[in-house]
Amino acid sequence: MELATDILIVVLKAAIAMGALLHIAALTTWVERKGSALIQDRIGANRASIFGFDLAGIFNTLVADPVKAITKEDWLPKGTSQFMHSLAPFLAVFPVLMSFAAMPFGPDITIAGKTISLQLANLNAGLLYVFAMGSLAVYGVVLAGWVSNNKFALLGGLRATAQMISYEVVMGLSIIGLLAVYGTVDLQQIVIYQGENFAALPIPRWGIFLNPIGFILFFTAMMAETKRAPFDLPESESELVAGYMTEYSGMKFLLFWLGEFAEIGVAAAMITVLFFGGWQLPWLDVASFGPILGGLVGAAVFGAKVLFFCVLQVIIRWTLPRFRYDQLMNLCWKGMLPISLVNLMATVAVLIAINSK
Amino acid sequence: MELAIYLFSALTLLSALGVVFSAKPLTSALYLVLTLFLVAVHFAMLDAGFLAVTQVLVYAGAIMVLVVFVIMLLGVDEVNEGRRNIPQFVIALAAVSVFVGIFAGLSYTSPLELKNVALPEGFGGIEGIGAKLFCEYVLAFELASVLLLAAIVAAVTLTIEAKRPLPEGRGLKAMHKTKNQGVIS
Repeated sequence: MELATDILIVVLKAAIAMGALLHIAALTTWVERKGSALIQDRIGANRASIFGFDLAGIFNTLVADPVKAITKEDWLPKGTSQFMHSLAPFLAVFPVLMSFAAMPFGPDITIAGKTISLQLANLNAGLLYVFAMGSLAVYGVVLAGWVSNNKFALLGGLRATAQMISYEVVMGLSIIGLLAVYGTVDLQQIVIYQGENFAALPIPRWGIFLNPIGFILFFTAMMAETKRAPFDLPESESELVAGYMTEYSGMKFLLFWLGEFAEIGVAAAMITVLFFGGWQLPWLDVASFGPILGGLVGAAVFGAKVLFFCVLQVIIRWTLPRFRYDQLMNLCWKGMLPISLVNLMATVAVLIAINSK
Repeated sequence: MELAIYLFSALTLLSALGVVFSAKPLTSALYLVLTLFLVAVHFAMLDAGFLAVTQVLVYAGAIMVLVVFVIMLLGVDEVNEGRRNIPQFVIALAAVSVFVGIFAGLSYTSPLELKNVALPEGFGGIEGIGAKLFCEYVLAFELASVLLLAAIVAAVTLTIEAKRPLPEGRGLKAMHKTKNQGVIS
């Protein structure tokens, strides 16, 4: 009986977490289409409608597009392995969905005397788990580029791989200073740490106040890792047709697309957890709302912050022009890596100075 | 949970066999990624959570990505062996059976006794490994990183080419100059 309730709770949490990520990805797709239209002073997709209601393009993006993609011909290449062609979108989406498992949605809730943590996997090394899944997401890209039997796709795939592994380094280095302050890599503990105020000032101990340069570095590196503009050379629509996704049509292309927008959601979730307090409200104790209501309020706050950062990433994409490839690599290795090392040394120096008083 | 241990051990062995017996190098590399992922699962089953995540992050996520990258850059394709090499197969079979024989003999003469040891608090977490690595074994740690740096420098030194100076001017004149320069300038 105990085991049955435990399994039920885990299954429910998995459904909610994965459902939340997929909904965030779908909503961000719509925000991208309509938001890009607003930024570029045009109307955007508004043709698909049900009974005359077109809900500002939601029916077009979220109903018509998937139906079209599912009913398209499943094209497989002739000269290369068809199994790997079908495997590549899976490898691009699966790690991204898995990495959402370590995100804390809210404080621990108690239902009928049972304490449930609003985190699908309460890992001791939660942050490292998210990075590990992010580094696995490279395989989908590089495999898609290779198996497409197409020089442009191969170029896109190789460029994407080099870019992603370069920016993974910066992504890790930019947070180490902040982790030295937090003292843990457990994501729930990091969020709980950000609940209290500073000793000297009446502002909450959010990561953005502890390490603002780290935030800028991490945000940039995350946008480069998820291949979002201005770092979207791998899928540059004006240069490489569709980059590594050229030979994919229908639902497989939508899987790549979904993986990319789910990565936007994961990036936004990481930024809120590390830098903006996760599910904490400033100057309020979310857990004090009550055993169940506290969890709901925490989840709502987390969702609002994640959506804000998703919209921010979409706006940045449609505002900035694209980097050239050598500019991109120079920025990573000659620009951001030294800055992140200096940031780390400065943060640790300040920590030592504070702790030795 | 012995069923889980047997199942994952079988999967690991199968994917390791896939590494060895695949026709294309890329398939071998992907099977190796799967094997490393399953080894991380073994670590997780033994309560070493940090080690499992680090295995995926470093080995399967960074090192194997570079191996796959090199395979794609070199454009290595399926190796056409031609005829089977029977003497080589027989020797390989003999070597494997010697190995298996040694293992079987060892396990029957001195069987391992698995004691149920109570794990200390925070076992497998990042704090324990960090404390050991940076307090007791910090010299070995730093020496290992110096060794990696030496390997990188050696690889770059061996493969870098000295740049030829670019000819003056642009356009067709410079192009014609380089055409007549040849390899030794």
